[in-house]
Amino acid sequence: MIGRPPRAPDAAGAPAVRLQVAAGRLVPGESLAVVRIVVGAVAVLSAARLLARGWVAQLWSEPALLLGWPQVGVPVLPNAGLVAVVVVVGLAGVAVAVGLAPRTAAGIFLLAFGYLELLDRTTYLNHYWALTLLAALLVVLPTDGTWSLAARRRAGVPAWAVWLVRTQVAIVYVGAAIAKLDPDWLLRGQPLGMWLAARSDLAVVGPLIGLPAVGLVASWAGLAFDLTIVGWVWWRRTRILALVAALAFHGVTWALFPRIGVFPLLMVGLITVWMPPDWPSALRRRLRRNVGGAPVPAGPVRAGLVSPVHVRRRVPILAVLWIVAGLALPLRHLAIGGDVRWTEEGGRFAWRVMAEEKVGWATLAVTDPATGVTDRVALTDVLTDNQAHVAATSPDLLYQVAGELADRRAATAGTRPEVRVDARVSWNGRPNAPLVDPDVDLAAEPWRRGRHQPWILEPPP
Amino acid sequence: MSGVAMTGRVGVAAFAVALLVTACGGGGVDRAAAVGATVDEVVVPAHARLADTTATLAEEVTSLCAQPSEEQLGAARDAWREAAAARAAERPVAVGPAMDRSSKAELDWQADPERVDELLAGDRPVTPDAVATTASGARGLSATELLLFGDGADALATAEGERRCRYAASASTLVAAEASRLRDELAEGAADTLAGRGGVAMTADGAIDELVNTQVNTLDDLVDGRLAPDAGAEPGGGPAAAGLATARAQLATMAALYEPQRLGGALPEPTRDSVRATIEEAVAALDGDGDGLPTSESPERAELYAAVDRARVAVRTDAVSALDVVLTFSDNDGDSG
Repeated sequence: MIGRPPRAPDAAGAPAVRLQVAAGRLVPGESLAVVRIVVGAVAVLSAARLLARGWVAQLWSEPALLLGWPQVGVPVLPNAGLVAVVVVVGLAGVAVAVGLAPRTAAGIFLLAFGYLELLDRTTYLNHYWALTLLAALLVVLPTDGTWSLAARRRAGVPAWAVWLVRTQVAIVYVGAAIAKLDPDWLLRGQPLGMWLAARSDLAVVGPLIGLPAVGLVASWAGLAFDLTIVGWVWWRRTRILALVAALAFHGVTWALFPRIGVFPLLMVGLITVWMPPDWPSALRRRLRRNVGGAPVPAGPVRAGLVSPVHVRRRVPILAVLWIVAGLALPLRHLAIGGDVRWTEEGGRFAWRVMAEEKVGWATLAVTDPATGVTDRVALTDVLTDNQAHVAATSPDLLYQVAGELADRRAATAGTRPEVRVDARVSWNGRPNAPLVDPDVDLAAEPWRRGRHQPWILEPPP
Repeated sequence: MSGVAMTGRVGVAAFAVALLVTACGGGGVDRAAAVGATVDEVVVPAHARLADTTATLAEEVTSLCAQPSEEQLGAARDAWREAAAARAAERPVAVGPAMDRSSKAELDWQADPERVDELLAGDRPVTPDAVATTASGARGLSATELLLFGDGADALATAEGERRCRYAASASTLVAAEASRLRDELAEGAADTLAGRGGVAMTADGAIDELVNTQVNTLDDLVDGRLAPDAGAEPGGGPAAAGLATARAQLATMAALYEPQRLGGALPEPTRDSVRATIEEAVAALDGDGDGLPTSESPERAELYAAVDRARVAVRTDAVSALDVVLTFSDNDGDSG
């Protein structure tokens, strides 16, 4: 990525060239090294949790039916193979964190983790998606020059690399804020109000957070946090306060909602990329100064001893494509139509973090067209509790279950049955309402890719 | 800087005022109080009644064995009905020690007619100790129902039914002992633990999780196991198998849970009211059909199924969502041996 020297000074006046030179300017690699370490550590933690809690079998070996991505068929390994893949995830995470061939390690992590993610859509989590994107960036970004076993000497990174990661982190936060711009969140304080009320037995804060107004206040505060936090961290004058707020926010969400897993840890680590690229050294210098120790000399990069570098032509194009895709993906539901909060169409890869509370229950009516005999099958009869919990509120997964069930019956009985789904969903505290048309044979319905599925019913008011 | 600080102060002040106004107006949810009232007013009484009625059942069956007669058989059967109704009322709140001990396996695991017949016909002892070592399907209230009401039960009124009677007495004695243990454990601290009182108290979240999961399991068994239009008849040949009294008792307990001062108090009022109304509609549907379970595939059976299924959906979605409960476990962990 660091290539030819800059062009002649006479061309430096053009904005595009100035931008190119600024993007290629070498900056300290410390903030990106922190990101690399955080991503590696979260990968290790995720793998350790999967193994320690027996989730490998629970998530991928035990289910009788895995709801993979229809267009991406991946073979399901036996349990020992899956465990091995998780071990690879963990080892790759270690290598990424310590900087042992970090680009290769990030690539291995990406393949292994991506494989696991492709096995079953019910395991999708936004923080897994964030981890995947960051791992992809670590494959291409030169983060191995700082705090890395691979580094022979400390090297800087081009500024564009820092800004690309910053933009990615901003997309996560701002995307999460945009997902909350809806009347339930802004006017009813839901679903946060329900979740906080459910924790009203906590010591000290319990009675307070159970109050209805707290849900509304907390909703607005959370939205404001997501929308603006990167700016506050970037701005020197508000940085310390913003970091304290970020720690408090993610700490509180982790304490109140432990089911969100390692997401708070990941985000606390990632938000630091919005600080100056040399923030760890600066912090160390300040600490040394405060305790009266010997001053830490600024590194060569910090002292501006390196030359600005030219950015290869393809770099800005790829970076812009990455950012445009990152912005477009969460907003694709606008092109699909329908209410993404209810239909979930375009809801994945969209940073809809804790934006809704939905609980559903579905039964499938499987009818033999030859005899007219109908069997009722609860979703939990064909899926595990974890899978059913997700699938019951996701029309595309219900569609997939209906199709799979029909295929399996057809294979054994010779006749493809009709499969109708009675799914009822309670959404943000509303009384349960039907999610899909119970009169439609989903096993016979075509999937309208990129379009709204007409058999998904309107959301309740 | 002063502008930022000023904005911050105004924000904090506005937040404090909002909280103060809300606090003065009330409206908060006290989950701990809701759980405490649920335990004191529903869980403990339900287990006490179960212990009392099963003790009476054991006494009546023992008396029947001592002095067989039509009259005493009738008394034993009445006692069984009372005990079965008490167990049905306790089932949706079989939390705490009942859950820890997997008491379903001891109290009313579905009877296995073959095992019961095998034990009746054989020469194995039918003392309480011996019956205790048999599979769950050969003891408990369901097996006792088979013994008191099933084919050949009329012999209990005569000396010919002596072995059958001793078997029934042993089975009911075991049920009574288990029910008594549950009542005693609750009295000796388990109720306080559930209610969040004392040194080893559960959190309200934990107790609510147990309560709701138990309801859901009860409803799943009821809807899919008994009322489903295509469900076959249960073994037993007695009132539980053919009647709706147990279903009615289960749902009545659930409706009681959603009183405002109990578990219902942990729900927003509209949700509480709608869940409770749906359960009461299911109870009304059961009342409307007398005591007989409509035959499979009949329209009446389908209506009954739909009404109780609506109650199940309301608990599984509206209550679970509003209470932020994770449905995780099944109580299907008894010994089916």
